[in-house]
Amino acid sequence: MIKVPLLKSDLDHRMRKSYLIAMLAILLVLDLFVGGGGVSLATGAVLWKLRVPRVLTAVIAGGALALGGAQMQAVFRNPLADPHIMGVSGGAGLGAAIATMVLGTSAAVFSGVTVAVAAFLGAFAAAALVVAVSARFKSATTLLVFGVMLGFIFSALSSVLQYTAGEESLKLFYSWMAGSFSGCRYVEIVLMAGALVIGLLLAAINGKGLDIILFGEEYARLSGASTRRILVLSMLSTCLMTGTVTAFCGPLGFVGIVAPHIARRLTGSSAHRQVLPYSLATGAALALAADILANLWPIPLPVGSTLALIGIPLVLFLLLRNSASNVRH
Amino acid sequence: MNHLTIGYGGRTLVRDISFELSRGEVVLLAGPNGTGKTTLLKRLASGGTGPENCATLGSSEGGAHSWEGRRSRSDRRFSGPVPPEATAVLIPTNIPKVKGFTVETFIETGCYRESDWKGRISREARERMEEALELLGIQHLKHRDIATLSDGEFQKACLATGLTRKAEILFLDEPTAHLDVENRIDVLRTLGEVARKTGTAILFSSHDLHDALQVADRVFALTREGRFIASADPEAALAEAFPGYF
Repeated sequence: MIKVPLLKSDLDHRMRKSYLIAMLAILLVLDLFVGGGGVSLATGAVLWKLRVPRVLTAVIAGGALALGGAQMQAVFRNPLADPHIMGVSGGAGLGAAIATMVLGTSAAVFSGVTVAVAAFLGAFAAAALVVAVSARFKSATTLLVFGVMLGFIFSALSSVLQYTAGEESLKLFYSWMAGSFSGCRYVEIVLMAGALVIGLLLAAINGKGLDIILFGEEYARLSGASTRRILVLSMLSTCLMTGTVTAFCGPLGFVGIVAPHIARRLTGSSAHRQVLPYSLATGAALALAADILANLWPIPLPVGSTLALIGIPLVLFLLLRNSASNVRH
Repeated sequence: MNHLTIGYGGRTLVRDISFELSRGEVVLLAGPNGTGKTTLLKRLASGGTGPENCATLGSSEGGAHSWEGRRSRSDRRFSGPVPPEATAVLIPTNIPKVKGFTVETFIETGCYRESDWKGRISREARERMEEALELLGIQHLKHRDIATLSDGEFQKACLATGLTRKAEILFLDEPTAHLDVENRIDVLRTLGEVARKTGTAILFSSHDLHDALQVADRVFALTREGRFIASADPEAALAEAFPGYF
């Protein structure tokens, strides 16, 4: 007789999970019909050279950022943690700023590729710094503070560079900063997919570590886990994925924060063998929705903005829902 | 445990701790705040080797005090000292009740060392878990989210984790903290039952001395002066640890 409510909630969660998968499929198809200044049917080169790459980029980028967020939220036991907060995006931004403003538009091989490579290097420099420093910090909270401070320093340095930059370089820098899923070629998509696969594998290996760390570092150690291994694995996974995606798509926020929350709600579980795959799917769906919203207009909007427009209300909704349920509890 | 000294940051908290535990006994660790109860429990659970510490629990070399219980129970099925290589599990105080874990997944997660890379526990461990849930009377809570449990129920889920991990010695840091009277007595009674039925030796710290004494076979006391007292007479031990109260 006790099994009745259990079965019902299990069914409920199974239903919600299938809604998510259906939603993802619908958004995926819809996104293919959007572009070129509105809704239109594309065939041939437009379909294969513009729309399919854009849709794939959105799916991979959204999934990767969401996986990063899920891991950061577990390791730092902070509902608002995501890759941005660790200074990784800040590092990417500084890299991009240096590429556009110091090297200048006159550089011989200058193109978006230079910006991407520089952003990637910046993200990795930041990530390497955080991982290296994590050996010295025993507590995840201290590391979190370090990451936030690092992010501030990077953005301060980027501002200094912008202040002294010419108009052309600023334009280029801003277009990267605004974020976009367009313009990636298949080579770049393969690179991002590779980063996503490796990042997902690292996260999966670390799954039970991410679970136990939710109960605190002391409990994890008492249960025989190495908190350092958990931290390093999750940082490596997150930085690899975020660095690669940020390099090609620009710094994109909110997916990393929102997607894991939705995934936990959908599955009714905080265990990572549930949270990780459903964060991936939710992140992809959110990115697709933002991409559709961005490309509906004659002039495409920056994806960074449309993600914020979709993401912020969701964050607020979840926070309010959570505090309401806490009151009831 | 022979001649263990604990402390941190160069400060010695307690010197010369020697005792042994016997199977199926419940021991209360008492002492005023800041005398090192938690430090001692953590140290014992980690089994760390200090300078003057032979770090084996239950070795009988010290032998200064009898491990025969104060009130020897007629129904005691387990006797004799806990073997030196016994598995010890410490259940710390204030484990957060993280939303999104059922009692079952919480126990599986706590079996970090014992589970495979996916976090699944063996069939044998699963059987131990079922037995523990039944013994503790929380079988019906197996699929409940731990965030919805009462503190007393959650404490039992923590105990079940220890038993699933095959603990032969359970250390509990303040298992009755924040519990109301009813839950407190319930949890303490459960401790006694677990010890008696499974032969697990239990050492727990508590500030609820009067209730805890009802279930404890013996008392270890830590004094403000950094002494460790394991007396067969609980009242005498407590009188030294809390001068003026007993």
